Amino acid sequence: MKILVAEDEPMLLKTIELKLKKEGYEVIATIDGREAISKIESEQPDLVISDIMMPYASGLELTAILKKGEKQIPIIILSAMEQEKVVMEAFELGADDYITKPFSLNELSIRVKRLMTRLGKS
Amino acid sequence: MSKNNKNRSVVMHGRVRWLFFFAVLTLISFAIVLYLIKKDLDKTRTSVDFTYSVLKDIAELKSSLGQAESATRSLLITNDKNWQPVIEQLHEKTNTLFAQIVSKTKNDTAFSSSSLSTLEELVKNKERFQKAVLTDSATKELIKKRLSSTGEGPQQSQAIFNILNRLTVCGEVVLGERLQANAQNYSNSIYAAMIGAVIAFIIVLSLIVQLNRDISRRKKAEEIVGYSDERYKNLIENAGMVMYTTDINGIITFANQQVGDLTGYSVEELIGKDFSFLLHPSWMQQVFNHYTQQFQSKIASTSLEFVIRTKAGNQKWVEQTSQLIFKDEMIQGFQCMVRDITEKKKIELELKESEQRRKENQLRLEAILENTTSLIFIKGLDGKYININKRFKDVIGVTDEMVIGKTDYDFSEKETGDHYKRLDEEVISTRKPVESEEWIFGPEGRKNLLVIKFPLLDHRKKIFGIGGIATDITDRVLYQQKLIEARKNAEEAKQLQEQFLANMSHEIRTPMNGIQGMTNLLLQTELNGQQKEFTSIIKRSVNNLLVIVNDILDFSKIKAGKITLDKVPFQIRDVLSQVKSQFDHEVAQKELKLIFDHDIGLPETVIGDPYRLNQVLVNIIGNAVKFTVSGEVRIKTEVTQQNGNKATLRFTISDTGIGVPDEKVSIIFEPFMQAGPEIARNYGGAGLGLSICKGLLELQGGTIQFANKSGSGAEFIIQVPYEVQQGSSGEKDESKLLKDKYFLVVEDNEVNQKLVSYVLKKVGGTVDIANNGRVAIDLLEQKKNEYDLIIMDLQMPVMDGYEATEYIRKTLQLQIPIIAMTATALKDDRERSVQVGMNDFMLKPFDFDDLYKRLIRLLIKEEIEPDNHDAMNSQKLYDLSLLEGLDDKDSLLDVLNLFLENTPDQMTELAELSKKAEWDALYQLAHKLKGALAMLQATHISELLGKIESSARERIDIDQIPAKVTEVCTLFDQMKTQLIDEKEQIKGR
Repeated sequence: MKILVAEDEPMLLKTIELKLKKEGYEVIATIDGREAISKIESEQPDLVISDIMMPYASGLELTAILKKGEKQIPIIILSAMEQEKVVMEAFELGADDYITKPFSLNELSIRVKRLMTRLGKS
Repeated sequence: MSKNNKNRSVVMHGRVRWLFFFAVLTLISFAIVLYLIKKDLDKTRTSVDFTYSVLKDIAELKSSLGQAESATRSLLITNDKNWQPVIEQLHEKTNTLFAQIVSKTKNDTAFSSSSLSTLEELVKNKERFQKAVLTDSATKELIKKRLSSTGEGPQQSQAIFNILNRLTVCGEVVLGERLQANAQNYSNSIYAAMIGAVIAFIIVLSLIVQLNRDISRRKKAEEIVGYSDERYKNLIENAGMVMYTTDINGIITFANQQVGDLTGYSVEELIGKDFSFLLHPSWMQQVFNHYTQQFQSKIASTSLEFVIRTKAGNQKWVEQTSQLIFKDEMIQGFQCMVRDITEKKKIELELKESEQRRKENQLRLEAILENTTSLIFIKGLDGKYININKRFKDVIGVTDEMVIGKTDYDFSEKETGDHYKRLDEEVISTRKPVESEEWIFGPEGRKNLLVIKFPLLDHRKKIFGIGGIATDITDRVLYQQKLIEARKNAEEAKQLQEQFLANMSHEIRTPMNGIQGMTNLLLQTELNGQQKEFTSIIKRSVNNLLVIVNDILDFSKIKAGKITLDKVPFQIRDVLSQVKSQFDHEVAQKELKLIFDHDIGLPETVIGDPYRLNQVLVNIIGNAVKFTVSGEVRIKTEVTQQNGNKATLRFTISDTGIGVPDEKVSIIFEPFMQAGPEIARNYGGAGLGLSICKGLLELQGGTIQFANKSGSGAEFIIQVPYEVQQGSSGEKDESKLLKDKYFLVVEDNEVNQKLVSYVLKKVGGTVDIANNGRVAIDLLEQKKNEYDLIIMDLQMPVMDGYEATEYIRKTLQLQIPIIAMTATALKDDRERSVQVGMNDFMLKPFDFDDLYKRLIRLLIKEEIEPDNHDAMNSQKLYDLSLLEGLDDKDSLLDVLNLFLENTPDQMTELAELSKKAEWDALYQLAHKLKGALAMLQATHISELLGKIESSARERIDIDQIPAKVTEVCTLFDQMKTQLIDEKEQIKGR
C-alpha cells in the first residue's frame, strides 16, 4: 500500500508521513506539485493525499491528472477552514475525500482506511 | 470317472488301429515286393528267351550264308543261271536276319557291337563278292581263284563264320548266365513269399493278442466304472455341495445329505417328492417358468436365485445351478447344485438398504438445501462454484449456468471478488469457519447477509473445498437499525426530559430567589400584624418550594448520571456536628431530643464526599424530626468493617415518630412516593428525598435500609464505605511547611476573617485581609507576586469571589492558587468556582487540619514544580493533542524539531514580506504557516495568520497587516520557548 503525500509545509508533511508509516503504509513524501506529479508517474501510488495550495501545481491539478489517468488513483484533499469552495471544485474533479486543517492524525488515518475499504483495497 | 474310462477305451482302440494299420502297410509292401520279384522274374525269362532267339537267328544266318556260298560255287562251277535268283534270295534272307540280330542285340549289352559291325562289313563284302561273281562270270580264272580254299571267297566266309561262332559262344554264355539269374530270381520270390507269410502271421497273431487284451481291459474298465459310481456318490455326499437330481417332472430322484442339512428334511423325505414343495410360495410361479423354459429350450445349464422354505419354516436364499441330464439326446431330468446364499443376500440386502438410506439421506439433504431460507454454496479450492441452492439463485438472481464452474470474479466487481477471495483464503489457511457480513443487490433488492464460510474436509482431514451458508439478515439489520434509532430517540427524549427538569428547576429558582430576597426585605420593613403573618407564610412557602426544586434538580442529575463525587479528606465529626447545628432550632421548638452517639473507634479523617454525606444525613434526620411529635431522634455512628485503610461506616437514625405503614415500607425509596396522600398534605415534600438519598449512597458504594421499630417509630440504617486517612501528620510538620507563606484572605465576615487569620498565623504564615474582591485585586496589583495563596469567600459585597477570581486569572494573568470558602454547600457553587479558575473548595465551617492539608497540597506541590511551568501550562499557546496519533515520543520530537527549525525563518520572512508589501507572497506564506500552526492548535496565532492571509489576498485592510504580523511573531516567540521546554520534558519521559 503506497501513499503519496503532497504538502509544501515541511512539518505537516513530516507529521503525515510519520503517522502513515506507523500505520504500515509505504509513504512517498513530496514537497510541491511538480515533485508530486513526477512521483505519481514513476511510483504509481495507491492513494494520494494532497494539499490544495502548493507551488508549481495545486491539489486541484493533481486531482484532475489522477482522474484522467487509467488507474483512477484515489485522492484525499487537505484543505484549510475557509476553502470550502475549492473543496467543492476538487470533488467535482473527482476527489474522493477531504480533511480540514487542522486535523487529528487519528482522523487522517481513519479516513485513509475508510477510503481504502470503500474502494476495496486494504 | 466315466470320462477317464472313456479315455482309456479310446486309447485301447487307438492301439489296435495302429496295429491294424501297420499290418495293412506290411501286406501292401509285401505285395509290392512280390510284384517286383515277379517282374524281375519275367524280365530274366524274357532275356533268356531273347538270348535263345538271337542264338537261333545266328544259326540261321550261318546256314543261309553257307547256302549262299554253296549256291555261288554251284553257279561258278556250273555256270547255270538258275542259281542266280537263289543266291539273291539268300542274300535277302541274310540281310533280314542280320538286321534282326542287330536290332535285337542293340539293347543287349551282352553282345559286343564291334563284332557286329565287323560282321556287317564282312557280310556286305561277301555279298558284293558274290554279286560280282554273278555279273562277272567270264573271268574264269578269277572264279577259280576265288573259289579255291586259298582264294578270297572262302577266306571271307571263314571270317564270317568265325565271328558268328564267337557270337554264338557269347550268346550261349549269356544264356547260361541268364538262366542262372532266372533261377535265382525264382528262388528269391519263393523266399519273399515265405517271409511275407511269416510277417502276416505275426501281425494276425499280435492283432489277436491285442484284441484279446482290449477286451479284457474294457471289462476291467467297466468294473472300475461301477466302483467309481459308488465313490462319486460318496464324493457328492461329502463335497459340501448341495446336490440333487430330478426327473423331467421335477420329482427328486436323488439328493445328497447336504440337501437334508439345507432344507431340514431327511433325504428319505425328499426322494420322490416334487422339488417345488421346498419353494417359498411367492417364488413358485417364477421358478416353474424358469425351468419350463430351460426344459423347452434345452438349455444345458442355468442358474437361478430364489427363496426356499425349510422344514422349520425359515426362509433361505439359494442359488441353484441346474443341468439337463441327457440320455440318447432325450432329456432325462435335471441335475441341480444348490448353494445357500442367504448370508450373501443378507449382505446384499443390507447394502441395498444402506444405499437406499444413503439415497434418502441425500434426497433429504437436497430437499433441505433447496428449501432452506439460507443461501448455500460449495466452492472448490480454485474458487469455482460447484454447487448452489435455489435460494442462492433466487436472492442473487442467477442461474446454475451463470455460476457453476465460475469464480466470484466472473459476476462481481474486482474489489468484491478480491474481498471474497481473501475470505476463502482465510478459510483455507486457518481451516476454521470465517464469518462476515455482506450485502448484495439482487432481484429482491438490497440484502444483508451473514455469511459463514467453512472448510470441507475429507476423511483424511484434508481440505477439498469451501462451503458457505449465507443467512438473510436484512430484516434483522433493519430491525437493529430501527432499534438503535428508537433507543437513540428514547434516550434523546429522556435526556430532553431530564434537561427540561433541570432547566426548569434552574428557571424556577431564579424568580424564587427574587421572591425570597424581597420577602426578607419586606419582613425588615414595618408591617402590621396580619401583613407580617402573611409575609412569614410566604417565606416558609418559598423555602419549602426551594427544597423541592433542589430535590428535583438533584434527582434529575442522579438519573442522568451527572453527579460527580468528591474524593477529599474530611472529618466525620465535623459533618455530624454541622448536621446537628442545622436542627438545633427546630428540635428545641418541638421539644425533641436529638442525640448523637459516636463509636470510640471512629476514624478521625476519611476520604470521600462530605457534602453528599451531609445531604443524606440532613434529609434522613430532617424526616425523622419532621415525623416525630415527641420523644427523641437518635443518630448512632459506628464502624462496621475495617480492612486496612478501608472502613465502612454505619449511621443508624431512629426516631419515636409515626413510623411507616407496613404496606408502604417496600416503596419508600421509590421516587414521588409518600406513605400516603395525607402525608403530603400534612408534611409537604415532593417525595424525592429518600430516592435521592438512595441514589447518592449507591453512587458512593453505600446502602440504605429501613425498618419499623418494634415499639413505634422508624429506623434508617445507612452504610458507606470510606478510605481512612492514616493518622494526621501533626501540626508541627504542617506548620513547618507553611511557615513564611504569604496568604491573602478575602472575606467580608469579620468572625471568619479572624478565624482564618488565626489558623494561618498559627502555622507561621503571614496574612493580609481584604473585605471584598475589589480590595483583593487592589492588593494584588500592588504586591503582584508576593502572595503564595488566596483564600476567597464566594459571596461578598462589591465584588464577589467569582468575579474577583476571573479578574485575577484573565486580566492580571496570575496563576496564584485560590481556595474557595463558602457556607452554601451547593454543587453549582463548586462547579462555578472551578470554571472561573479556583483551585480548591472548602465548606464553612471548616476543619483546621483540612485547611492545612489543602494548603500543603496546593503550595508544596507547586513548589516542587518549577515556577515558570505553572505559567506556561496555563498560558500555553498551543496544544499537541492532534499529534497524539504519532504515539511514540521519537516521532513527536522529529516533528517538533522540524517545526522549530523551519518556522523561525519563515516568521522572519513573513515580517520582511509585510515590510516590502509583497502581498501575494505574503498570503501564500501565511497560508502555509497557518496550516502548521493550526495543527499544533496554536489557535490564536493561526487565526491571526488566517486574517493576514485573507487581507493580503483580497487587499483589504492592508494597513493592519504589519501590526498583525508583529503580533504573530511575538506570540510565536513565546510559543517557541514553551515548545522547547515541553520538548525537553517529552525527551525526559
